[in-house]
Amino acid sequence: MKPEELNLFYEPKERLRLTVGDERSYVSVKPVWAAPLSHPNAYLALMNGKGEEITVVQNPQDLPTASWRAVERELRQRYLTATVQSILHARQEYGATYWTVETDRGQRDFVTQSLQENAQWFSETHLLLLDVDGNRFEIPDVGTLDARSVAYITAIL
Amino acid sequence: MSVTESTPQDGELDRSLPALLQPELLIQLEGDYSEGSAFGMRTLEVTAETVRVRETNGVVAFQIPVSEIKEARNEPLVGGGRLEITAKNGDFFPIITYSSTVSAKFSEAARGIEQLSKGEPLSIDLKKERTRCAKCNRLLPEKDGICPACVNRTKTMGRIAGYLKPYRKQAITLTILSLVMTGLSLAPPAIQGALIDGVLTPHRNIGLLWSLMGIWLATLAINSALQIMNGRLIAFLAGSIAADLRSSLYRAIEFLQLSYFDKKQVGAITSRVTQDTDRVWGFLVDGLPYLVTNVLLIIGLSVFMLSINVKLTLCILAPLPVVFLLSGIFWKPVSQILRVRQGRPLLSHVPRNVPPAALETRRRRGIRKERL
Repeated sequence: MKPEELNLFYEPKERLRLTVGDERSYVSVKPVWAAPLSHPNAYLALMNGKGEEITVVQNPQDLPTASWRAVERELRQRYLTATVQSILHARQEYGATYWTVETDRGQRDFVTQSLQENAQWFSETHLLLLDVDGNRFEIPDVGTLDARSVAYITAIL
Repeated sequence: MSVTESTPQDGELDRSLPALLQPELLIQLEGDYSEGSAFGMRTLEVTAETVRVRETNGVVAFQIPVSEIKEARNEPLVGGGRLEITAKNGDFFPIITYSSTVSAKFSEAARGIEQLSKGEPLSIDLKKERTRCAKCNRLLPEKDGICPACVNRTKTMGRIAGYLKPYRKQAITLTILSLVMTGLSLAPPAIQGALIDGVLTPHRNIGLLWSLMGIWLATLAINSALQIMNGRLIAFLAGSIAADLRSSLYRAIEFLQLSYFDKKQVGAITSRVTQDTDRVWGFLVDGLPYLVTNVLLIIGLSVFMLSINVKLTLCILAPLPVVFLLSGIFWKPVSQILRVRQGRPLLSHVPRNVPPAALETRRRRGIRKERL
């Protein structure tokens, strides 16, 4: 499918719908990143209501502007990963690490255990923290954080 | 049946109605995202007639009569979930978003709403779970779990020591051997003292030299024999205790409810069976003998030195307060660094130090965790 033929819009109000040219329409569509960590912002898969793949868009920027805006809105709702902006406090006690962070979604306290498994480095600066409940806290570039936050990460990780 | 996570305050439902006329709240759950998917709080309230969502300030953000609901479901999202309601007229409403911390409860609530919409009696399990320690208010690593900061260490030590009970004889023998070995390790300095005082003098006593050499040799031989016995005993205790620990943990796991296995990942349970028992085992067969032997050695040496010369001993022990003070200051940061280094090589430098293939494996492991 050609990206420019994919028309994504909300109809009814809260349900993302896809119309492919004049051919067909999917009443419920879920956009998912096929490889969000290794290829962020590329390879967007569109799934139907049954969870079956409709198509994969290699470069989502190629979608019509209105479609891309609708997809962006849906992605924001579907990916509850919080992007950490600063680490306000972090301490290690008795095998658990207690964090207080400021994120793009607001302030949050969480606990991590087994940092060998639950602190994942995807590059020298890209870090993902998974708390004990599986909530995700992403730091796309540790270098952009303030000195105090970097000091916490260096001390703990 | 009423399933309420927290009791609503008077007048919270509808301030225009007296409390007696308020419909009973069957489900009340707090979501941890506000509208717009920012961290916040919205509350799901379910009565026999209505499903509604309230904002923090009490304003009703969404409301639908139960009789109009066709379907209620928990839609899994990355890092959480969303409660979606489909009305009988086909309208679709994603009513509340929540993180993974509370998604299991909302999944149960969705089941409850479906039961009510079908006219069935409410039959769900929504018990209140503690997420913070009642004593110190720290977040708990596991819901309804034990706070690692407030755990009773004496009790824990007692429970761990209980694993030595079936091997009482071997444990007592091991302790006696440790005592004897400690005593023997004090012999060489005493022999050296006798050598300096009795042999390395103008009137050399060669006979005494041979006697002392004989005693030293015998001490070394006995010590070696005891070390072999000690090693064999430790190996026996290690194997037996490890087997006991794992089998009792396995037994405990067998008696757990199925809901526990729903919530936990298989890897986490396996890790608990292997790694946690390894740690307890390591403490019992490695840490504890090391601790006992060295404490005995310190006591023995102190008594030995004091018996020779009190003044000199006190001079030797004089720097101890400074050592303790410095240890108090540096112990925590140094042990933290050591723990991190032992856990894995400098994490922040992993990409620079490990071969590309290993880095790729790490990356793939992370990507596997991505839930679409």
